[in-house]
Amino acid sequence: MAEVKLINVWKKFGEVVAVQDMNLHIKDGEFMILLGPSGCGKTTTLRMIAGLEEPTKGQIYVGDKLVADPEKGVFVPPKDRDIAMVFQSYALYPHMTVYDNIAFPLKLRKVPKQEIDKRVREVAEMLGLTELLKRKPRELSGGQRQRVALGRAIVRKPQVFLMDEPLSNLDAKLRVKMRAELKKLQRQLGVTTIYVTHDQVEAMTMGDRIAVINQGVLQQVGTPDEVYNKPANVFVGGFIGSPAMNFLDASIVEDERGVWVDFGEFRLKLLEDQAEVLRELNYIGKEVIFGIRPEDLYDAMFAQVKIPGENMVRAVVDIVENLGSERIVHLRVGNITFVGAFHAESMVKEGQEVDVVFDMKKVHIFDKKTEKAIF
Amino acid sequence: MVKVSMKYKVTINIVAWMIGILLLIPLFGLVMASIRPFSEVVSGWWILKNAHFTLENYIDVLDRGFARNILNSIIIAGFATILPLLVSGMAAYGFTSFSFPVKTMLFLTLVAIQVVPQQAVIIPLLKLFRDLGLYNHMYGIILVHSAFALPWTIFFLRNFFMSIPKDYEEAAKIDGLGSVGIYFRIILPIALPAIISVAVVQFIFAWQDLFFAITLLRPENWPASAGITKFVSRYNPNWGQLTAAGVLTILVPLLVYVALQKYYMKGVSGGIKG
Repeated sequence: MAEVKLINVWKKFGEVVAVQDMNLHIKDGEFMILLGPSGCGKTTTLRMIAGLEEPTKGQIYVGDKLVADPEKGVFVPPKDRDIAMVFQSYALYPHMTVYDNIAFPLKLRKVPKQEIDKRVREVAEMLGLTELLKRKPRELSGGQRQRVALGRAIVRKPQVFLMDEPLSNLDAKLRVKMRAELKKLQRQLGVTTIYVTHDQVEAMTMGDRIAVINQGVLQQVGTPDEVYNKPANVFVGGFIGSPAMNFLDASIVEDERGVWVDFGEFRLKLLEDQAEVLRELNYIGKEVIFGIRPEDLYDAMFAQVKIPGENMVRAVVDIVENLGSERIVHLRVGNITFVGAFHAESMVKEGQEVDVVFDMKKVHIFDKKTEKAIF
Repeated sequence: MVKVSMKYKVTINIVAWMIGILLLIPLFGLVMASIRPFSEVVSGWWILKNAHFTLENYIDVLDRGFARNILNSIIIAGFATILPLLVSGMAAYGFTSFSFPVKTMLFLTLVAIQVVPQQAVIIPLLKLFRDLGLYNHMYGIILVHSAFALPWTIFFLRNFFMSIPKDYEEAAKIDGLGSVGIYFRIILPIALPAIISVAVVQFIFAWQDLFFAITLLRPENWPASAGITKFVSRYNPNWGQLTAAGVLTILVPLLVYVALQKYYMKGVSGGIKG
């Protein structure tokens, strides 16, 4: 078990900057998720930790060991980093049986035959692979292959597991099952795990902490609750959560009744502590980006606190998507559109007008220029 | 899946059988001519009325030292297959997995020299052979075949290696293998069908060579492809012996092909199933 540290890590491919000044500290035994859209640099980061890519600048530590530092000419090859990796494609050697695939890293480390056999059988038992040990990878289903790939990683008892979108090739149902199994396994083994995914549901459900990356830049690191409830910027707010957070252009105004977010067509009154922050930071009279998650909008019929003119607005229903457990409602006030996730029993219909209540405790205000969260 | 009508299936089968039979007729004639007396063959090998079968021609051919020619062919074609494959496999892996200066230039050169015909180099080659003392030595001709095999085998294998997902190599790196280990323990076993395809084609190329054999070797070292000419005389070709030698000559490559056909088809059709 070990911690992993990335200090001012850069990776450039020619002129293209894939990873920019990344600072990340993954604690011992932690399940860390690297989350971001395709091409954001999350896999490159993982590959640099694995030793499959050399950073252009910066230092990487696995445990106390400096494994990469181009300035000092340090580059420890993957096999000496005491890490194991699970690939998106599983990368099971097609010419070897399941047994040989799992045993292979141990054979290379000259582990005695009896010990190899013992460990392979233990891992196979743990992952439910005992019956499949003599099969070749092509004779296995996707889920079984995935488990063999995990077995090959576990058998080594490495300090760190690296996983590159290991569930993305599975069908939806199996993915949900494997998600839980993987999380359980990680808890059981207590091995530091770095897991790359673009799937925010995987990130939210599996990670102890999530590192959100965009265009090679680390946007935010925090627990799933933190990144969900306190997004550091517009990107994080928009990337995490489905349906995505609503972002509306607005300006902050103050009158004798308090501080308001003014959208032109309507305005909402901010809570006193929020108003205080904006006053202190000198945002009165300035343009901002207003953010609110769809589930923080209510059909007034189901809202507990509604104050007409302060946190409630009448909107036209454009489209209703019935998901069974909730209704995704596309709303419009003049030219301003936003999405609400209403209670399943809400009876709103397309074309109808509805009173929409904003949960003002849950609103987010972002700086217009920097797109960073004010709160 | 595309649904194929019965009529279409039957037509395709008839056409395929006809082409197959058409191609097999000369081979069948060759075999018939080799196992029947000359007097029967001259009136048409396809006439089976009162046919007599004999292995006399084969015994005569082997008595006249043709076994030695077959053995020479096996030695030449065998080594001229193994040697270039040893080199080209590693070279192709180098072209696939490593970056080095002038890599593209070198690869393009390899592609380009494939078009140089054997006849264009034979005179300088002959002089080189004399100077180096390689003339009339089997290892000399093995080297020539190997040299001619390298460009196309590297080209073919490099293309195949490119189709092997990088993940295997990277997984092996993490598991603890170095480049040499990755090549021998991961890439080669995965690429076995492609390597066998190349081996079969190269073996047949080397086996059927006549040009280099008669130019670079004296008759005592000739392989079967050249040795067969001793059964041809200007006025009275011995058809029985000639055809028997012909059958013996094609027997080895045929056996090689039949034995490795499963891998050959996989290698040609491509694809890695993991």
